[in-house]
Amino acid sequence: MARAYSTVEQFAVGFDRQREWIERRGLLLLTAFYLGGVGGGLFLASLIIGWKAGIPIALGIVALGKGPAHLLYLGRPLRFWRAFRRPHSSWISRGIYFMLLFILLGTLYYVFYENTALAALSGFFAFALVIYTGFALAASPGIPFWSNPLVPIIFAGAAITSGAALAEAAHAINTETVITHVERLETMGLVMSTGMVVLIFTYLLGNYMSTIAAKESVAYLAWGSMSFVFWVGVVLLGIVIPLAIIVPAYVGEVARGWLAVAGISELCGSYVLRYSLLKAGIYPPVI
Amino acid sequence: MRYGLVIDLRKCAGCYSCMAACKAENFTPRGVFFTRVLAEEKGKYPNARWHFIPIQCNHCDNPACVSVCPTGATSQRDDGIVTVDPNKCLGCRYCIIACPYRVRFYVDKRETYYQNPTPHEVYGLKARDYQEGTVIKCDFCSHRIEQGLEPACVATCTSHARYFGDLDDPESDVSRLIASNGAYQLLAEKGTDPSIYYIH
Repeated sequence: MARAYSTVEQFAVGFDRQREWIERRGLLLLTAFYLGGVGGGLFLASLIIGWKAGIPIALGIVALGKGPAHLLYLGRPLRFWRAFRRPHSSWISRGIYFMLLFILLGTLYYVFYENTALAALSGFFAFALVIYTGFALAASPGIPFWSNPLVPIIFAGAAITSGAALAEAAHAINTETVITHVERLETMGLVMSTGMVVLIFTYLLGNYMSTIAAKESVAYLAWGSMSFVFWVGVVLLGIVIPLAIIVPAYVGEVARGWLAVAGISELCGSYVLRYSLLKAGIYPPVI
Repeated sequence: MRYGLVIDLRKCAGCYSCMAACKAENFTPRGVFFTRVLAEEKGKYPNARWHFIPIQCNHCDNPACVSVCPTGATSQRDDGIVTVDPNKCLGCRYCIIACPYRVRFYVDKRETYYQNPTPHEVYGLKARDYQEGTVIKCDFCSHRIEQGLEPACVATCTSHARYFGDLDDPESDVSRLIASNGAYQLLAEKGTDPSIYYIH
């Protein structure tokens, strides 16, 4: 079969959910987006908190996770080299360049760790890597829920939050983790998590008050058939549990085990956030 | 020169012959319909009515699918027809995501309708280069246009609801129909400037 659409969806006028980037092999693309976000976010977090060991982990997540997941998603993976051709117009082409330059410059930075110029350059491409997926979605005029300037910011925010969460979890689990500016870790987690609450709320509210298809997407997430996944995955795992642990840790002391729970919970929530955003991509009726 | 189509919905009887003709002409794989006729029920009993809206690739003047394609497999010809080069497509499906009209199809497996393919299907498997793992779409029957024929959906329309011609020529049937009937484009607000116009 060419695609798994029901007869009603193919031949009736109405809302239509995107499936290509979330169902069946589309889950590989979701995973690639997620791993790119976590890897790039971890690299940025490592730069900020001074965690040298986090850099090869971040590079490994991108090189061994994101890259292969993208290739496995493609219908014709052996033609991947053709995607280098159109960086002037396609965000997928740009993403490939960002990924390769990130891996190259990130590796050089790990080797020449004190080099400020390399830190700035690799940090720039890490940021490009975490934000481009949002631009790829925002460049799709067919889906109003994605065609929104907040989408790249949400993707970048979620990525950096995930990177900080992974560093937090690693630091909590392994007490011998060497982090130069460990005090920045909790601040970063608190600021990013709080910022994500504001971003997600603003994004959903803005969409609810815009076009009918965007409103349908919000309804699908907030009280439709995706509501359980959204409220448990995105809100509870991604926001409530991490904040319930990070806030007390910021103002006082909590056991390290709880910080690991906060980090792992946030990482799960971040995956579900991307899943929810992709799943709620709804096309408006053609008339 | 910019090929375009005008569909007069006042004449469309919802017979689905365009859909059948397209399928027969282009040998599209199982589950793929380059031309589809959408049905919509309007009103309430006893005044309920079916409305039919044939849709297919709009061969937009500003196509979202062309700009997002990372390989250049999707391109626009000088006559406005948007095509996909099956040898360049890598199956990322970004074009399917970007197209607001849902008229692009990913061929996961090229299956026939019958376990033992019909002679027509066997011929089609050889005649059309639909590669697995790539995206396919309507090309306004460019093989017919090159022979001076109209697209199959236009030639077969039983109620003469479809008009094909040059949108850039102010004297063409399509241009005159658009000018005199207040024809409109689907989802014009997306800024894609479709080459298919509808008269209601």
